[in-house]
Amino acid sequence: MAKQASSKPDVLDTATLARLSNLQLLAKTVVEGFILGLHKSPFRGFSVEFAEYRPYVAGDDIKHIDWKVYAKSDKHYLKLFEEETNLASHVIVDASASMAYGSGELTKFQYASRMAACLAYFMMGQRDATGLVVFDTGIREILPPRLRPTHLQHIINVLQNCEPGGETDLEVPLHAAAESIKKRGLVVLISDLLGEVDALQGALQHLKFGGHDVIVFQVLDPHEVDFPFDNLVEFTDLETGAKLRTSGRAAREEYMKEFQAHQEALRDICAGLKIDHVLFDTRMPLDMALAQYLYRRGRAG
Amino acid sequence: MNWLNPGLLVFAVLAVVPVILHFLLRERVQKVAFGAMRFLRKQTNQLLTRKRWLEWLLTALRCAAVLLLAFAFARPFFADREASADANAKPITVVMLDVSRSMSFGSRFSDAQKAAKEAISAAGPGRTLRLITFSDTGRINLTDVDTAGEALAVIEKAAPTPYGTDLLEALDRVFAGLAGQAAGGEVHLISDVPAAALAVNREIRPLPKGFRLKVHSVAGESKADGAVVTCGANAVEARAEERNVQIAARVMNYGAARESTVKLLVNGKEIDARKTSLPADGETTLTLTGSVKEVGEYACQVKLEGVRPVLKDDDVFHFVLRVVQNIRVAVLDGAPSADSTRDAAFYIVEALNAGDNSPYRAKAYTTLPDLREADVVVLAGVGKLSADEAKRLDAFVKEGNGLLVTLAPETPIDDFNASIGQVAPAKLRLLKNADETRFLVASDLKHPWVRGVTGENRGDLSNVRVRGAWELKDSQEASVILRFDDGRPALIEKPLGKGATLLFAAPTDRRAGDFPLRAIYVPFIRECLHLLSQRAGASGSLGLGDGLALRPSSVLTSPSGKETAARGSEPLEATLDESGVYRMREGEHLALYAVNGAPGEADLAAASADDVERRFNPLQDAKIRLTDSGYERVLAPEEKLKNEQRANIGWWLLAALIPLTIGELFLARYVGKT
Repeated sequence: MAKQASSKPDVLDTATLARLSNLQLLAKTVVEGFILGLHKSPFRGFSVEFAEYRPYVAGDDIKHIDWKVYAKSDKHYLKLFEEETNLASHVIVDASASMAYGSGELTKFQYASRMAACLAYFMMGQRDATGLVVFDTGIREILPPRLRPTHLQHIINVLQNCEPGGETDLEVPLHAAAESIKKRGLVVLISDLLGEVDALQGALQHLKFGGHDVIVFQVLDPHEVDFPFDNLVEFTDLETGAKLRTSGRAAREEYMKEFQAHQEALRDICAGLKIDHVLFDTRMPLDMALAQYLYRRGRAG
Repeated sequence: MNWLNPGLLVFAVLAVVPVILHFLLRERVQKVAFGAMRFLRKQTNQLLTRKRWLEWLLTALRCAAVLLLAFAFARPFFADREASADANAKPITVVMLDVSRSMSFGSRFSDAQKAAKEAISAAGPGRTLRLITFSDTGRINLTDVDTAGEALAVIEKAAPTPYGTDLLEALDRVFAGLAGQAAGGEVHLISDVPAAALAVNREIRPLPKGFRLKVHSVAGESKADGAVVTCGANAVEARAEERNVQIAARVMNYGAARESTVKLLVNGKEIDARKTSLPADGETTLTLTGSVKEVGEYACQVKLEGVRPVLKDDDVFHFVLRVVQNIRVAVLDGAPSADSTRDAAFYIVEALNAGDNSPYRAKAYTTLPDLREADVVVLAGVGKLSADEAKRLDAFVKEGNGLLVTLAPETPIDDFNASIGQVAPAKLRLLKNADETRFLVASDLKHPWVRGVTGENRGDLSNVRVRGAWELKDSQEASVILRFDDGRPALIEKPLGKGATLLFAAPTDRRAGDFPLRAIYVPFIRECLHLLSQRAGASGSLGLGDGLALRPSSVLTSPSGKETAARGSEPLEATLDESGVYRMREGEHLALYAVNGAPGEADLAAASADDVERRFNPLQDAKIRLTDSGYERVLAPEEKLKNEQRANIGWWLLAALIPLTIGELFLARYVGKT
């Protein structure tokens, strides 16, 4: 599915995303472009609200054949219904200072905001109630899940007005979010996860304990993944302001070792909690996030 | 340090290029506001500081490489120490004035004085003057003179001496004194440059750098016109029983052929005279005989008449005739025994005294007798001497007498080495395979002892068998006459003072086998004694200027009647500066010593001054050869090597670039990683 999504039209590439500053327009563009590429929607399902008839084709389940129509027309038609769910989705976005880093056209936070907007647009298009939580050291903004058409605008407004700042603290805000989300549903965490792994483990456990299905989208800058610095570099910590002068070449090996260990620990934690962990760098197209959501939504539905 | 191509040193300024490049291409610090700082928590700022230092070290290496290249192509070499020394030092002028006997011939010495004065005058006021008068070894006198006037006064007072010429020794001493003198200068050798004095096969140190040797030969064109008479030795020994004393005289004639009479005078009384024809510029020998039967010492002369001497006193040769009854041999018996088969002294005494006409008068002793009564001492199997005996024996030999040492199987090694080892030709190491029979083999067939023993109607060494052969040590200064068949020395000889010692490393009694019973035993022992007594006789040869040690309480009277007395117990050395016969009286004992001038001084043949200058001046070995490109100087091997070493400094610098470059590459790679 990810492969399928990654071959979408150019409108989904990061350069285009970077130019679209209107999140709603961006979300609409992304999502509709994404849907156009899909096959038959699996979400026009067999629920209680009638949608339309369609001819039976080989392979369809015969239990959905409307026998009354067959009796009248001597043709096999399937009766389709508009699916209607009460799934509550929560998008949790990290707005700590470390998310302000970006070596390319988008910072991690900008990328995360666009990802969150797309997800919200898509979720609400699927008629799922969607909520938003923005946090740094604590919860900065929280919008409970709603299905009203105006709710999407609220979400986008919050994301547009939010600026990254403060140190990353995954423990306190995620525990708070877990406490505040009463109804079971799907939780999408968008963060660089550059915090203490043990703290994250506790928070994710809390969310799972609440019965939520959790997806973790880890957003990193390509320079954080590859560490391409060769020359002398003076690094300034975005969160603490501490400075470090070192040689990029000399520091790379140690950096990559620490980074891989961190990622390994994250993967282990997520695997242990049966949580999907997907790593994004800010060069990757956003429809991959949508595809991941659809996959998990399908399982949850 | 000097440079062959100093202009290329300009390129040394290129050493600043790496510094400039260092600043231009220095890595700029990239400032990054980073989010994932948690993964850099192990990095520290020290890394950057270290990198900066390494970069500077790398730059320094590159600068050094550029400098080395510039220096290498500039071809550095080290200047001579002498040349780089204080340039303010005054040049030195050395005047060497020959005052040997040959300089008294004709106008040589006045010519020499004139040449010396000219050399002093030409030196000028800005030079340090040294004036050296020399004749033979030990008579080289340095006179430090402050002014030219002083030097001229010394030269004016100088006069020829009766001594010989040792030109090489004088030059060597002068060159030694000039070593390390940075100012350089000239050495004026003013001499008749006798060819005989330069013909000696002896290496002397080279003339120091910066000095030139100028030779002023005063030999002149005038040739010697006269004759010189000499004999083989200053002391001749004869036995009273022999009716005639035979003296061989050699007369060297310089000039035209002429007739002459040679006379033999004993105590001033003519006992023989021979007329002889002297060839032109040649020599002749003749034998003078006389009959002197009384035991004692006689002052004798061989006198030349009818022809004038080349130099003063060249027509007279003095010698001492010693008429002795017999050669007195004291045989010290180390182990007296009634059993003659175990008594080594028995066989030796019998061998020496055998026959009515034996020249030896041997007597066995059990303790060391008064050695004034002996000419030769034989230690027959003696293992130990008291300190006093050893001291007396040592003095006895050094005065010009002889000592024969034979060993016994029971000779104690340590006692022998401690008491007799200093006098004997060698010390004992061990008695090896005492029961093994050994042959004797001549080591030097031309040795007088070997010729005397193995001559016609004498004996055959191959018949000799001995047992109990000793292994010797510390025999480096001894010469080997006989060896055992395993190669170890058997009979060795060593000069000691004016005398000589012999050691036979095996017993001479019956325990050695049947050796004492063999016919060769008598000539074996007698030839040993003959060798030792001959050496003793030759010790009286003295020349003008030699020293003679006076025994305590003795008086030495010169030919002119001047007396020198050794007072008390302190010995005294007198210089023999008159030709003639000296008399030394010690109580009742009277000893005569004949002194003659150096006969070589009469040989007036001179070497070429140019040859001498070429021989001693620096670059003496340089030769000119013709090549395709013209004349080229062929350097002496030492100079060539030195030049090559100088040129090699540049190559060494280039060689140093290799490790420097390797180090630079490694460091650059390391710095690139950091």
